[in-house]
Amino acid sequence: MKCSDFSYYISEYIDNRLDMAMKKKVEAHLEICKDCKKEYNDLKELRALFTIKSYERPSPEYFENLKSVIKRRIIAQDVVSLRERIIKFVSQPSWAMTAAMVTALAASLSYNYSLYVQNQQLRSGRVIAQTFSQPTAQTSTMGFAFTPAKQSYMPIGQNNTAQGTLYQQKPYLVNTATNSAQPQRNFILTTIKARDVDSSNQARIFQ
Amino acid sequence: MGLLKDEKRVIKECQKGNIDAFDILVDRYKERVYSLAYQMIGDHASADDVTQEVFIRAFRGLPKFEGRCSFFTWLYRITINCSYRYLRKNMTFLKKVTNEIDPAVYMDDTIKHKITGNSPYKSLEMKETMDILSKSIDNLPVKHKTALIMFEFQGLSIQDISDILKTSPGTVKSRLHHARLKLKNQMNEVFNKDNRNQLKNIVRGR
Repeated sequence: MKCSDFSYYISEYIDNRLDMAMKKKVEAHLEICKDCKKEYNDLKELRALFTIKSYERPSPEYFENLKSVIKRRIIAQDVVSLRERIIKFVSQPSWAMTAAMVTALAASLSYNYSLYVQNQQLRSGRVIAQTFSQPTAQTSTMGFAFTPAKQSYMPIGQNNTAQGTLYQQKPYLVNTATNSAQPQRNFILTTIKARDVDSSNQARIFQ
Repeated sequence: MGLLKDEKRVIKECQKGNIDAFDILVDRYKERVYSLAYQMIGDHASADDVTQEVFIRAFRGLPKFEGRCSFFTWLYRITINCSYRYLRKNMTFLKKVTNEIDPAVYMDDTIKHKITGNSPYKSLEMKETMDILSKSIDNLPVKHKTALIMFEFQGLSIQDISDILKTSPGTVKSRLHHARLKLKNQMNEVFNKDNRNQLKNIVRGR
């Protein structure tokens, strides 16, 4: 074996990874060869330096807020990715978006239809109730529903129109079906301004 | 063994997305990850960044971690990869930064005393030697550097290193040997010529 062949085994010898036979060979070679002995000494010295250097530690104060920083960054990433997902979902056409829109449309349609059906039932029920109590009343299916209702909230309108003050209140929730025995339904009523014929003041009429 | 079992439970907890459980893992490995990153990059602030990056990546990647290798092997692999990426990205920037010797490295006083025998001259000499050593290590090729750092400073076995780097133990051994030879030659150059300029060149990263 040449010196260059031994070079690798010297390194192994220092790390104590050789079997007995190879160890003996290297030791024998180190006895004879000055260059290899020098290399061995150098590497050993280097090893000692490594040992000293391996005691170097990062300063402990660094680790104090590492955990919180990592946690904060993970949470921030989560927030950002969620936001990006929402933006992507809204801004880019996709199957998911289409499905969501179709679902929303279907839901609103079915809700409207159920309202319509209820309304129809309400009207037809009213008609029956009305015809029973007032068989002579002139009722049309369209105009009828509001006839009793108007009467029921007339007093409120009268109270509010006192001294010509213009009332700009929020829309009232007025129960229109208190007179009848039908299930109660609430309608949101908005105000409009109109001239009162008698007092020529601004009056409020609910429509 | 109890610690390992406990670790498996903690990892399972983290895989479900529990950040609080991840704290335990961070606590256990932060120093090793940090020192490895520091030795790979040679700059305190960069090592900071990389350490954070490593743990965040680890947390994100944990659901994919199947336990085929040990957790620390896996974490070390992430650290090495992050360091490589960082080095590639910031090569020019780091060459400027590492001119200054980083003061953030800290050595226990009792160990320092044992090595230098309380002599200020000797401790100064030691510091200089250590600086030259760090610079010489920085000048090594990355693969050799990695093997050397993990073996000498992290105290990992050849088998562990080959697992982390996904190479054979023989390759690790030969890289280690070449790293040592190159380092030895560099150090000899500096000390034998005893040329201040030469030394400065090495210390300043050429």
